[in-house]
Amino acid sequence: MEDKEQRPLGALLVVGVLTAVILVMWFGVFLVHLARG
Amino acid sequence: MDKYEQALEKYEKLWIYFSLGMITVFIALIAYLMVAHGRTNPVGAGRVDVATVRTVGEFANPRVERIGEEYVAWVLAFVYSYAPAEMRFTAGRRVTFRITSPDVIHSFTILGTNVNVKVIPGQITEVSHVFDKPGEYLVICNEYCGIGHANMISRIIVE
Repeated sequence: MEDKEQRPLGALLVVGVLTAVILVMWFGVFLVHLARG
Repeated sequence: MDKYEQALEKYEKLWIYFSLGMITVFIALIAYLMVAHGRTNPVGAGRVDVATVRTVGEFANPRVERIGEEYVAWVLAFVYSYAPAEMRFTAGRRVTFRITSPDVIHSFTILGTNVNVKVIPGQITEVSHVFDKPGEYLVICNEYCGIGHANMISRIIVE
């Protein structure tokens, strides 16, 4: 097995998807709030 | 100790910077909302005596008054209705609702707006809103208050 550390693609994907969901929800609610005056 | 064990990994470092950046953005946006739209947040505007609120004081006569360019509405939320049952405003004018309850906890929720406040017996809740679009707005109670809760509605007509 190679000694060199590999890029943790699975972990990056999980963190990326969760982050995207949270940010889309947060900014979505924020925009709805602004749109409702 | 190996120097690599002390060092933050690249991804950890990126994540810390990103998290701190987002927290800063969230706090800044909420601060902006509080400054620019502060009157959307309900504030406690005084207390009333639940035993006499229907007969004495400003809530004995729930009504809408136009004061200068703005409106003030005194609203009584009770099982299972609102008084006044219908309110009329002109679009573009600020409306300040002063609401209280003589019995149990209700809410004053105007659908399609950010007005969604709790109405607590003995306390006056004050919240403001500017209706930009003419139309009919439904007011509902979203605090379960008893068997007639689902029928507890009022209407706002903006012309």
